[in-house]
Amino acid sequence: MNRRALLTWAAVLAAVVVGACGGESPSSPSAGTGGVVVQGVVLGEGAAFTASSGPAVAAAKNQKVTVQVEGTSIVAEVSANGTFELKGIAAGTFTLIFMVDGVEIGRIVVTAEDGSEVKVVVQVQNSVLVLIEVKVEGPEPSPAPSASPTACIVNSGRVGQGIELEGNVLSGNASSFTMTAAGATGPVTVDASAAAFRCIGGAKAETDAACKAAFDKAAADSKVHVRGTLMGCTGQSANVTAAEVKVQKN
Amino acid sequence: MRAGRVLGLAAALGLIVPLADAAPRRAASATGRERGPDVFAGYSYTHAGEAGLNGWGLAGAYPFRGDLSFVADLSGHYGSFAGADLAQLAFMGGVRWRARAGQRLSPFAEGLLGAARTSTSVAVAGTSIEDADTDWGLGLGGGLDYRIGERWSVRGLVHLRVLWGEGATDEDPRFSVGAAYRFGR
Repeated sequence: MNRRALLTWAAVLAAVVVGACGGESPSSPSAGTGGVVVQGVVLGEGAAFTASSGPAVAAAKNQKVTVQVEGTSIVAEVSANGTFELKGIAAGTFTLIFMVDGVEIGRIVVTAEDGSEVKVVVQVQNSVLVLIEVKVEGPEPSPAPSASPTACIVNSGRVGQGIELEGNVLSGNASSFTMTAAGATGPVTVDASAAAFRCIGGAKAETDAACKAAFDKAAADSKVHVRGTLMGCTGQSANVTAAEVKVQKN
Repeated sequence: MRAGRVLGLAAALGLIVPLADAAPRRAASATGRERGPDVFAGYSYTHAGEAGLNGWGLAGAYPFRGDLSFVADLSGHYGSFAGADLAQLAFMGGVRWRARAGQRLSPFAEGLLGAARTSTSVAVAGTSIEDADTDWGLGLGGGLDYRIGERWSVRGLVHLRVLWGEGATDEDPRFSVGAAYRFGR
């Protein structure tokens, strides 16, 4: 009899476990086969920067945040603890659109190979998206091409890895600009649409928003320090998604 | 559909205890130790949002009427996801219904209310960015004690935690295994 009770309990417990763990969770997108996986964390109210100065702002609580791959039905709802995951994204270049209560607050452009895992950390400040970090972890590398000094114009640049560049802006605005950079043999295109702007030294501004506005009007010839992720690199050009742009001198 | 899962869990647990209760019982000890308060400590795992977190669980139960006890449950879970470190500390309290004590196998069901505080931190280029948030929620679950001594038992526990926060509702399963010690009168 005790054995029967134990078996009954074990069977029901197993059913409960399967029921709790299986099935479609709120943040599971349509099932895909292979492709790219994006895992992310959204920081919100109360996020504080340490060892860095900056305005202390808080995002409104209890707003539903969703992430969608532009042009597809792949969408994920950010969970209560800020995590989300998107699967089955076609390899190549795609755009992640972040929305709060259905209103777009920002987007991030990502380039990733098939089988890659993209890790994104963003913060929502006053309904504005701030990119903290994006990393692309690729699949097993394919056999390297024959060594060529023009394989990537950025010395030691590795696609999908973090990068810091210092140089001068050739053209563009606060959303996207082209720059020359130390250690790069060609122009680098920077996607700064989700980047935080800081003006330092001779370019000091009253607020970071004023810094970004000033840069937007007169980006050319500015000296900048860009921190972000190298999204693509060839022998002729490179493109970077910036998390932070420090403007040092106009 | 998710409400159905929660109701299904509650219904399943509502069947479990009577089924186990139908099994022949041993004669209750004259000391009534089987009905005394108990404490539990053990390993715990939860799938919180999209992250799998490992940690610990502590619980205490105090009987107040028949097979019913007041329960206090504290747990801590830790891990990383998408390059960020996550830590979740949860405290919940509620009621436990246990099948008649005295058997070597003693199942129970419980319903809890409480809150979970999740802390997130990410280090980027020498800068540390931290965020913390508290979400209210409830826990439904049950467990099974296997008595290995006069006062000691090995316990397995399953909870479904429903947490509300940031405009989202999370249903996080949690599994614990550890040791329980029952105090006598």
